[in-house]
Amino acid sequence: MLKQASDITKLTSEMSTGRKADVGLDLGAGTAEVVTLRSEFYRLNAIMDTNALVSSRLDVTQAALDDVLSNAEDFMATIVGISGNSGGAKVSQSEAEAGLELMVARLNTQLNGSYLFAGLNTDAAPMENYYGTPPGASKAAVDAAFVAEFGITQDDPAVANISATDMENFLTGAYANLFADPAWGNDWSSASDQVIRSRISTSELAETSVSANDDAFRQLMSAYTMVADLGAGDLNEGAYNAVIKKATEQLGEAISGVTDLMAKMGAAQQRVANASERLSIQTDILNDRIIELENVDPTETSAKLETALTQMEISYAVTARISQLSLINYL
Amino acid sequence: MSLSVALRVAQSSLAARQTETAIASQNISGANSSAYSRKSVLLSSVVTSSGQSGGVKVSGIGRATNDPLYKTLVQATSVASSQDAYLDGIARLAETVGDTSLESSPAAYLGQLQISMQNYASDPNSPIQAQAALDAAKDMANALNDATRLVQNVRASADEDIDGSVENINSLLDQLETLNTLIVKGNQSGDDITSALDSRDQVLLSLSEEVGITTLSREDGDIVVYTDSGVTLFETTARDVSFERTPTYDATTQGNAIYVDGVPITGDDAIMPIKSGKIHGLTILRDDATITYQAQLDEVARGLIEAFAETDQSAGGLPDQTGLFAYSGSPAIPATGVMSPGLAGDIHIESAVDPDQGGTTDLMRDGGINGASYVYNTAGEASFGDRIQGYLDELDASRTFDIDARLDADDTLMGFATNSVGWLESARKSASADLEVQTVVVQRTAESLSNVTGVNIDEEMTLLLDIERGYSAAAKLISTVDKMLDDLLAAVR
Repeated sequence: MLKQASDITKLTSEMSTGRKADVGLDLGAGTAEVVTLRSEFYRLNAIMDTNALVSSRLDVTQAALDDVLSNAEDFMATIVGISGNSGGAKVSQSEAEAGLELMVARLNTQLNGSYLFAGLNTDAAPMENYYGTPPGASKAAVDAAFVAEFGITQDDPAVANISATDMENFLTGAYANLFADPAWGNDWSSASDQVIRSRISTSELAETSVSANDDAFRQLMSAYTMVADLGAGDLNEGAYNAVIKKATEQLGEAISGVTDLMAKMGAAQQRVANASERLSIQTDILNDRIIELENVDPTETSAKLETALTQMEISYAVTARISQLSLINYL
Repeated sequence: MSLSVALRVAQSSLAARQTETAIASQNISGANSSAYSRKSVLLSSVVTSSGQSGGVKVSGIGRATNDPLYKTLVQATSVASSQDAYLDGIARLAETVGDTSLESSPAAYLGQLQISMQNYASDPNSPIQAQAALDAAKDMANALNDATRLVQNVRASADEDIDGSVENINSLLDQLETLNTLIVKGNQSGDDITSALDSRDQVLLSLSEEVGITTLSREDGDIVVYTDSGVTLFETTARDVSFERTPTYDATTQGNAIYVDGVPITGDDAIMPIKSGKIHGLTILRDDATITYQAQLDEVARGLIEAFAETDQSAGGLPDQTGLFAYSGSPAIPATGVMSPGLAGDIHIESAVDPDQGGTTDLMRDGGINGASYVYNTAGEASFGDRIQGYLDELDASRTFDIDARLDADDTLMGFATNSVGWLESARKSASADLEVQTVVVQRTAESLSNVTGVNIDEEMTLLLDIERGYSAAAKLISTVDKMLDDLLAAVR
């Protein structure tokens, strides 16, 4: 009767929880499987969670890149449309200034306290403001290079005397060096070349960020800066055309570079989405297996409980009858 | 036959009926005691020297026994109590696993650590994720510490139980000596020794719970008791069973053996080790199951220390040193592939990474716990994730474990930890199933024995009716003889 009572307790708890009363005792060595499945289940879920985080980072990156791209395209249209027109120089210069600021702002995009374009160095803003007060290292470097080349500052009216050839030499020489390593890392960007690699499934790693050091961004910065801050307004037509020609050339390359980056991020987004989908299928399978191992069949349990209760009642009845069954009562 | 003879016969019948009534009431009073075996009065007829029948006399008290059944019961009890003691201990060890949904096994904590590291890897710049990873690592170390404490507690309480059991054995053997002397003397002088026999059987049954025994009967009801392995426990006098307790246990402590008259009956030195009884169950629990489980925990700890160890990044050929998980021998790494006893009780979080102990969590991401040569993140980048990804790779990597842990020697850390859970639960399951079967054997044997030797009140009541009739018949006989004598005397007068 003691065993029946403990059976009933066990079955009742199984009925109410839907799980085996003592999983370890019931499964024995199979408990190892449940523990593995459970930790695998939680692990895959954790990866799915971090994948969601990665996805949002990729989304924000894409939006920023999109902004940069459309701005570059607009700027390209402006300078191509009004080239050679001295009145248009001022227009393109102010648009270049706005473009420069937008570039800095976009490359300093933050998500959850991390700078998205900073490579691995995510706790520092990768770009400093070009038009900050006091002027940043980038502006100072451009100014110094200009003075070193021509002996005058950009806002000196004498810039009108710079010949087209001299300007071309400057743009391909000292000026271009400003955007190459190591000057780029010293004066412009604090980002690291390495980008963030995320584990998007148990074994798969994917590059999920873009560094501000990418060539496309350097060319863009270079193009904006040359139009904005090389005294374009006062240049003679030959020198101005040389600037615009170089800027157009670099913009063209940069636009295709940014498009490539967007495609790369898009591919990463796709990989993350695919990985998450696969993980979700896997977790479903794991969950089914855990349920299979740990849970009881309610119909079976209820039938067993019914039988156990009936048995118990019969035992009670028999006990009562036996206790009355004594010869003493008949003597 | 003369009237006086008739009177004497009737008288002897009365005396016999009285003894029978006494025995019947004794039987009824013992009906509910499992130790009591049914008594019966043995009668014989008296023949006078002249060849005349002189009525009946009580020649002795018989006792219902069944030796084979009794021996089976003794044996089955020993086996069952051994299994019971063992299962109790294993069930306590299984507390370290708990219900799978509680996620409280070392393997489950390892899983959580892995998850926290995964989260940390996705955002190495986040102090919150770093703290969460550190907390998971702390939980992991605590779980191993707690499990070690529990395992050693189980060993210490098994040791204490052995001590209690040995004391009990000694007192039972003393009782046995008293009873056995009484029986031998009683047999020689022809006294009623049935109650003493009952008590002796009961003492032997109690003894068989503590230690497996076999008995040998000799003349005059004398018995000799051996352990199931053949060491003499009792022969005319009780042998001394001795055991020295070990009050506290750690992973390297070895428990003492049990001795009978200086001969070890447990442990590696025992030539004739016992095979059943409570002390057998407790001994294998203390010296086998717990040690294996402890070895498994120690190996998990060693695997952790290895997985999180720092390697030299300066190409200076420096040895690997302990990282996030440290132990008393830090910064040296414990020898690989071999067990370090007690490591699971010793493992803790490196204080240099714990803000509560004045450390900084960034060392988990950057390395450098053991100095500049071990810095992974040389550029000091905030989102440097290679080191953390490295942890994850190490957790998934196959490593070599000591075969003394009795699990797959080549496995991932996670695989090893879950196999340990499987090992424990399968031990519990088989112990539980064994005990269930054995309990049924004991119950059935006890029932059969009770059917043979126990008292049935109904039977005794019927017997009593018989005795009553016999008594009144004898009384009637006496009164008839008395009346006849009266008549005779009246005729003579």
